[in-house]
Order: sequence, then C-alpha cells, then structure tokens
Amino acid sequence: MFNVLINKSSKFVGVDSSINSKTIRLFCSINQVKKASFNLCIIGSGPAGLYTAAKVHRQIPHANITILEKLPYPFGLVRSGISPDHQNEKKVKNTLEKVLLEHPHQIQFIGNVDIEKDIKFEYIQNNFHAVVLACGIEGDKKLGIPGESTLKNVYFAREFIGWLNGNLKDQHKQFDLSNENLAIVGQGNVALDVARLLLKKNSDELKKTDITSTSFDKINKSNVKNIHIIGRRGPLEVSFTNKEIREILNLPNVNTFINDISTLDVSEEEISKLERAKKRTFELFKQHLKPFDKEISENGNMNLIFHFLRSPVELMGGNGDGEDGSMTLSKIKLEKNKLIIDEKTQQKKAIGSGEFEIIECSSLFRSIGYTGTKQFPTVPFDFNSVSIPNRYGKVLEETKSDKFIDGLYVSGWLKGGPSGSIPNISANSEETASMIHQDYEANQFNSNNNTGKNCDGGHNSITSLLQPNHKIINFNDYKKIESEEVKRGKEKGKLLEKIIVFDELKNIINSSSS
Amino acid sequence: MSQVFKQVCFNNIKRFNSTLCNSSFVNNKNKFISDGIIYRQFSSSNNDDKVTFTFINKDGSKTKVTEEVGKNILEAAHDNDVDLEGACECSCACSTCHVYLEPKIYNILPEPTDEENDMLDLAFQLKENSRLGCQIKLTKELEGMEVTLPSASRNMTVDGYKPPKH
Repeated sequence: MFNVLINKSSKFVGVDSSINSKTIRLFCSINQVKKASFNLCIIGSGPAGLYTAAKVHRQIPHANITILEKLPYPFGLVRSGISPDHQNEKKVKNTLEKVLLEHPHQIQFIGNVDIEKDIKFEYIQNNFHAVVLACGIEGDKKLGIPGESTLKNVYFAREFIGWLNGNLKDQHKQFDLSNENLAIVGQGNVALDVARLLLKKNSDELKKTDITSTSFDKINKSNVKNIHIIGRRGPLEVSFTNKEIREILNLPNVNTFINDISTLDVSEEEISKLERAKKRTFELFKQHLKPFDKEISENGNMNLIFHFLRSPVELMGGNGDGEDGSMTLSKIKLEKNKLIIDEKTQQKKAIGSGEFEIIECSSLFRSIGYTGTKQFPTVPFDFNSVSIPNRYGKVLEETKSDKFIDGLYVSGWLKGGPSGSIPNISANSEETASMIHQDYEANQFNSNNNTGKNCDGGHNSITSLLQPNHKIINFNDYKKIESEEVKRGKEKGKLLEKIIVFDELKNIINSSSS
Repeated sequence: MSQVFKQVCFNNIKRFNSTLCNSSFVNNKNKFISDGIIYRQFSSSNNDDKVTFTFINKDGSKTKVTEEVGKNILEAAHDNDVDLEGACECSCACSTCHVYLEPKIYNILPEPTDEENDMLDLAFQLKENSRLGCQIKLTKELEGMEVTLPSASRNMTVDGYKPPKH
C-alpha cells in the first residue's frame, strides 16, 4: 500500500506504495519509544503563549503542553486589549483557538490559576521539564507629576479598554465622562482607541460588537465634546500606526484640529530622510489637521485636538469637589517641548522649553507605556528594558549574564518589551520554540539529569497542587461560557454579551455540566 | 486502523516536506516531487480558470501550485500546505501573510490600497516588492510567477530589530 522511507534517526521522510501498514506501525512505534516524555508548562494564554504552544507542538509533536491562565478565559489581550470596534483584528482569536481545538490532548488549557497566589512558581518548575513565561507586561506607567495621585478622574487608558471589553478585573472601575473636556496623554494606539470609542458615541456599528452593554450605555450618555490628545514628541516621532491615524482622522462628524500648527513645520529635507511609514504618517497629519478654529468647533461635531510637543507638568484641581473632600481634575498645565538629538543614543529627545500653557479638562487618561513588575521572586526582571533578561528566549540569571536558568524560557512582551503586535509575537514565539526544541534535542530535559525533580507530573500535577475546592476552568468550560455569551449577544442583536461577574461564569459552567 | 497510520504518515510528511529538496517521490493527495519542486495537481478539465505559479518557501524550497483564478495568494498557500500564516482570516488586519513578488509581477498589479499599505508598514522585513498575500487575487496574468515567503529564521536579538509600538 505504502512505501515508507525512513532516515537513520528513524524519522519519516516520505511514503510511497509497497510496504504494508504493519510495517508502518512498526516504524511508528520505534519512533514513539525513542522519544523521551516532555512536559512543558506555558504561563499565559495570550498570543505569545498560544503561538509558542503551536510552534513547540510542531517541532516536538509528542510534547505534553499545559497552558496556565490567571483569567477564566484564554486569548489575553486579543480578548481584552483590542478595541471592540476592531473586530477584524479580533479574528486572530480564531487562529489562536485552533491551537487548543486541534490538539486537545497535547495542548491543554487550565484557566483561573494565578501563579504565586494559587500555586507557587517553584512547584510548577519542579513538575515540568520546562516552563515558558508568556504572561505579558501589566503595570501602567504614571506621569509622575503633582496632582496625579491625589485628584479624581485620572485613569489608565488600558483599564478603560479592558472595562469595555468585559475584562473581569477592570469591572469595578468608574469612569467619569460627564464633562465636555477630556484629555488623553500618550501617542500610541491605545490613546487613539480611547478617543475613537468616545467619538463613536451612538454608533450602531459599535453597539453590535462585543462591547459590554454597560460601557456602551455609558459612552452613549457621555457629555464629552472636546478630546485632547497630548504627547511630548512631534508628529514625526509618534507611535500611532497609520491604520489607526487614518481611521480616526476620517471619522464622520468629527472636527480634527491641531493646537499649534507650527509643530507641523518640518523641512522637505527632513521628510525625505524619513522611513516609509513615518512619511505616510506625516502626510496624513498634514492633510487632515487644521489649526484650531473656535467657530468650527461649535458646529455641533465633536472635536479631536492634537497637541504635539507638549508635556503635562501639573494636574490642577478645582470645582466639583467630592463629598469626601477630594478634589476633581479641572486643568492641565503643559510645557512646550523642543526636540534635540540625544548624544548618547543619537535619537531625538523632547526637552522642556520653559514655556507653559494651560488647558481645561475634567477627565484624563494616561497611555504612556508600561512598567514591569517582578511577578516571580526567583525570576530576574530588567526594569530598564521592561522585560526578563534572556537570549533568544532562554532566561538568563541576570541582565548581561552568560548563565542560563535551566528549563526556563520567555515569549512575547515579557521577552522583548511591551510593544509589537501579532506578526512580531508570532516570530518572537517561533524563536523561543526553536530554542526549546534545540535544548530538547540536546537531551537537556532528561528527568534523570535533574535529581530531586520529578517532571513526570506535568499536567496532572496541577490539580493536586491547588487547594481542594479551587475551581479550574478547562477549554470545554470556556466554550460553555462563550456559547452563553453568544446566546446573550444574539438576544441583543450583537456579537457577544460578555459575562462580567465571576460567580455567574461559575454558575454557567456548573449548570451546563449537570 | 490503517487509515490512522496513513494520517500519521501524512502528518509527518507535511512536517518534512519542506525539507525535501532532492528528487523524490511523495505520492499523496495529488502531490509529487521532481527536481526539488513539490508539485500539486488538481484534476481539472478546463485550464482556463486556473493559474499555475510557484511559492518559494521559507527554507528556499519551491512549491508549485495550480489554483483557481479569483482565489487570493493566501488561500492558495493554505490549500497547498504552504506555511504562510494569515492570522486575521484575510481581513487585512495583521500582515502575517506578507510575501515578496517579482518586480515584473508587482508592477502589473493594481497599487496596494491605503489599508494594505498601513498593514505593510507593520510587516517584518518590508521590501519594495512586499505585498499582503490576502489582498492579491489570482488572475491569468500571474501565470508562472514566483511568490517568496519572508525567511523564518530571523533572529530578532541579533538583528537588533525593534518591533513597532503597539
């Protein structure tokens, strides 16, 4: 029937048609016996975790991969970090889900397990041959200016996106959208997400997405009229990507202004030196941003106002003082910046000019990047690069060290710092998976080498390591949650109605299993 | 039972076919190899609505495919087990289906739309002849073209590559 060609290391290289199926079975079993068992634990089930799982599975097909997730559902920022009006980007979820659907025995998801809180990290290390950290970067950077921590109505943009995406841990947050003037500090896509969602007030398209009904209602009732986007750098240095800029500048019924038109004065020579993407960014600004005009700003549209080369230096409080004596934000003091070339890095750097201006604003969202936190006591963290020191995904004992921590790997934002989207994460995970494969081939995970370590526990050891009444959520449980979300969504004419209370999630899982 | 083993074998072949470069013989699902090129053949009586072209895989091997006019390059890759990702299901939102085209082919195609260009800005190893596979529909004009996949063996740390901001 078949003809099997096998090379010296007994790997299949091809088939044609004369050896019978018994022979194939024989070769298959030789192949199986020779492979040592390999238990891999991946912490985090966002794109980095799932891509790493898929890529390891492809290189080591018999690896037993356990993916642990803090939340009750997988997909990380694809579920909670992509804005609900970007459903095309959210389709990546289907690609990631295939990883769990197609290999139910080799790649297993366990949700609602918080490492260190529910299981000590060292227990995980002791029960698996190798561990991959793929749980991302969570801390948000603060401005570090007076008024920031004392005044009310100062928020993190990412929490807002998490809140309207139904992320459980952001549901207790309250956002005040009752005032006309709102500011967003930051020049990245998350800043534009917040602005765009507020500008899409009353949008039927937004209503039909997976945005939670609570947050959609809140946005609809918002009184925000002027949205100020403030950033320390100039139009050539922004981190917005062109897709997002184009989208926001083309929204209907929105006036797009620039506060200081001189910040768009850039010489032809400088533009010609720009890389392709930056050139296109600049063209978009030049084409769409008009100097602020009071009369036009009163035409009934909402106003989007870009402030380049401005750094907030102080937040000031005033009217609307709370009952508890706390003050609410009312004004922001901005310092004008100029760009100089940093001698050390040869990069452009914004420095204060000593000139100030004040804008009125009653709510402020910060979106100026991430700070890392050291999540696991035994794992080093480099706060400068906001990542875990590693080489090609293999964790180092400390930054600039040459020594590796055996069996410990890192993928995604934790590996290269908190930036980069799907294509980058895919390549980033591929590199880590290749390192794991290389170490596996070199027999580094042979249990006998590690005395005192019983790595055979793997997936099954997780339940025994947890408290007896701890509710774990497997992939089938998640699918029950999802189908309930789809059902509730259908009733309301939208894609999904996310369930935002943990006990409700538990009830859904329990009721459909009985 | 033998069905299962066939599947096992097939999976192995799928994994190894990219490394098969010498003249060889895989006879499975209308596929055969000659002179280092993997051929895919589809039984068709009418060749007017088909176009044949070649993928140059990440490892440099070639896969020759025959596909229906009207499909896009990404769909053609998926139909033929060519390792081109396409995470967002052809909705021009992720740039993981980035490919290089020959200049003569690049020039006869309509210009990329603003939306495609915006995604190309984020693609890995962007070149003058870069396009997104999902945005290029197959036409008879593309007969015989070569589509090159960006190399997978990029070492980010060594190249000093910095991903664009999120």
